[in-house]
Amino acid sequence: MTPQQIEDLYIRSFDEPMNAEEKELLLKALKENSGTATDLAKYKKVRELLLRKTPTTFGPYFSRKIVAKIQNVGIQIDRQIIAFFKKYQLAMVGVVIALLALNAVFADQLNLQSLFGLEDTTTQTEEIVSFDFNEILNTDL
Amino acid sequence: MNQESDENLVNASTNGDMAAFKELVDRHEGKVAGVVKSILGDTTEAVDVGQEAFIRFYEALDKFKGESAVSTYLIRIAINLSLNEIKRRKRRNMFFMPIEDGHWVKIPDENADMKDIIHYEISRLDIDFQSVVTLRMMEGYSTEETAEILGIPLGTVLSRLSRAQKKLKLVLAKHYKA
Repeated sequence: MTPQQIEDLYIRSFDEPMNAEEKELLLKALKENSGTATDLAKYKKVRELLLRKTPTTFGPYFSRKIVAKIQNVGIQIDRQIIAFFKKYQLAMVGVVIALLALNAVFADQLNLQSLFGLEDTTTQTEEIVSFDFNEILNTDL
Repeated sequence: MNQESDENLVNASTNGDMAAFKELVDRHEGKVAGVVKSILGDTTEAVDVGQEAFIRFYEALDKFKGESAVSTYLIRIAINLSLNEIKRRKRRNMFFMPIEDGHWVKIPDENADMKDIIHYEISRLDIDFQSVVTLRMMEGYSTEETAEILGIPLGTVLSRLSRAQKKLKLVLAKHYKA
């Protein structure tokens, strides 16, 4: 094994389980290369120094501060509104489907004017413009 | 006393139960604090990022389907926010100070101990490497957990760990030679 291969295997041994063959190979290589073994021990030291040993927090009353912040910025209200409407969402979907069905059934029977009770002016306009030009022309002649 | 499961607390929080959400915060504060402080140091920004992580989690409760553990989901939010903060800090300091001053760790002087030097060198690593080193080597998550939190393949975690460690060893060797 080259020193590079030994180093790679040594680093891998911290993060990945090795099979028996790899373990044996690494141990043998380290025994035979005491200089490399001393050098590689630095990796172990770095990892030992880095690993957190004591738990940490964000300071006292952190959770209370978060809850207060959420309530202050109104996220809480939004959530309650969403929770309220969630209960009725199925009923609302039913109402929308019913309205769409009604619309489809009565599509050719309803128009905007009749819905609002307005007078239908279509016939009157036709009456105004539908006169016979020939009749007028003939009487003039 | 029977402890409520995270799932029950999430359900209760989704329906506006703030006591349940407070319990979730208390339960996961330590893990989130560990990751955020490892990246940003024991600073006020770290506390802000911690708060933001939990608030984002609260806002996203409806979308949380429980595919991953609450802690995994929270750490993912926290680590992304911390890395964004690092980027923002570097951008902010780019025009005003030397880049080293943008890091949370003081530049180690000749009396600095090995731990300070390692922390400083980690803060100088590329962000992708920093997140892997923080989770695996500082906070003690398994390689599988690290891959899941960061959403990257296991092989990528292993190769980043290996490269980061080699880099650290090089700079440490240089420091102790000087």
